[in-house]
Amino acid sequence: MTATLGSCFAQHIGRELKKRGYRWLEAEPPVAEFPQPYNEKFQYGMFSFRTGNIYTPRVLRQWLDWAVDGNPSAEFWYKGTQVIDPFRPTVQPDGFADGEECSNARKRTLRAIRDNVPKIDVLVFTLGQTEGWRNKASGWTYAICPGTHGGRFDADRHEFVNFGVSECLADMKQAVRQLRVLNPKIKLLLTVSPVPMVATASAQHVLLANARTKSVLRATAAALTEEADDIDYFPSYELITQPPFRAIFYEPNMRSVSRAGVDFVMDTFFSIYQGDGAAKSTLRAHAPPATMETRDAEAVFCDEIMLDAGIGG
Amino acid sequence: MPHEPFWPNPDATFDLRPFEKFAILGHARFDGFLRAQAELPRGDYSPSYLTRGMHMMAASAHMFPLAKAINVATGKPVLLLTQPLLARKPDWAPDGLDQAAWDAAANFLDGYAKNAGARFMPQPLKTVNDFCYTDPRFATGRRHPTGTLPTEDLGHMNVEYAKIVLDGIRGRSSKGRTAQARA
Repeated sequence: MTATLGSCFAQHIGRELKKRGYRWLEAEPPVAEFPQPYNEKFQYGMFSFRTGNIYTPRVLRQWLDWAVDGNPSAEFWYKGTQVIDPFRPTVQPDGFADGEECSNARKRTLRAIRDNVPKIDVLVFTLGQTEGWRNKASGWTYAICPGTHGGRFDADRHEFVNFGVSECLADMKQAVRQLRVLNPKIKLLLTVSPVPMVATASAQHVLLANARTKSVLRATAAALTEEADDIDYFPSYELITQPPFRAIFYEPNMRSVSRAGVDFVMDTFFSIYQGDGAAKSTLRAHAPPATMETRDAEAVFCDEIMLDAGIGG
Repeated sequence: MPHEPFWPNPDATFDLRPFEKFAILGHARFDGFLRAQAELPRGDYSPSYLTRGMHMMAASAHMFPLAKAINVATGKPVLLLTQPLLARKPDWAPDGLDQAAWDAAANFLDGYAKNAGARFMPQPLKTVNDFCYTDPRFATGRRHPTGTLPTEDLGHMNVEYAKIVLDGIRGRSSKGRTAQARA
């Protein structure tokens, strides 16, 4: 059984696993009698657990700490009269009815993590970001900047944080420890999202910020895979971004990965792991397809796009 | 004997005036509403997700605007019936349901029906097991005339089922528009 979590690019992996008939964990299935587009708006079937996009190792660790040790945050945000979960702000279109409903839904997801991690053979986690915002008093890290989709940014209560390699590595190691508390045999397959940042809260140009973020995440993945036999790395990032591919897998907006790019990554993924989930990746020489399809990749939902000026609500 | 076309002529026109009452069948499914009502007390889904889902499905069901149009045009009673439940116990109700969930789902749809000048008539209970699936003895179990459905057809019901539904419709009209189908 394979599970997927992580940033928006991870949605492709879960979707392809399902499409190609692999055993993909859907620990929180929707009401199947409701229309699929409705369920997708509530982000059912997007990841194995209804966590929404998990961009940073810190947020992954946070979900697992809460699931294993308890004491989850009770914080919620308002967006008008709607109640928003700061740790997965877009899973409930139009928000929760009240704080209790938000809290109960969060507890359900934590229970689903506790109950279902023992069933997982391989967890595929896509690292996406190092930038985040956290509550100064509690230390909890949010999924997105307060004020972009609910809540209100308050410099006295909230702070920007840009995690470095040592923090990301420590967070990932703690996440792995918590996973193994629930399932000592679980294997981890790491990927880094090839989707570039759309904005940065650092003082750097977004190109520099993006290079820093992806470098930190790639270094974190390298350190983990070199230390442990049961943690592997799959090069989604390299297959899209590296010079031999000449950026041909990006849409004209130079951010979204094209359908051809997703297919290329996923075909490579399955050519490596088909029938051997534990194999170390030995990337075969792949030439880009001779004819590139131009149709859009299936829509993925990225909270991060809300950080772009004028889009955030 | 000439073969009747499976689909009615889309250009056909009908004179509605001679009819005493109208029944619209099969334009919506009942199982989504039933399951949502059954899930509400279980706590596995947020109430917002379930209630919005029910309203979304009802708002997009064609039978309500159709009923309203017929009611406005004729002033005659209009009954709305959903497709029969599948003839197999659903996996989300392994122990069956109680009548409270059934009544709640029926009342929910009746609220929409009333707004359209119509009434909702739930599937007759004598055709239903455990308040959640059609008794398999009513399933045709045969291939659909189009030949496109699987051999084990659990969605289409037989003549016995149709007779019970028709009796329910007749019973409704004799008891008045507010009478519930207790058949």
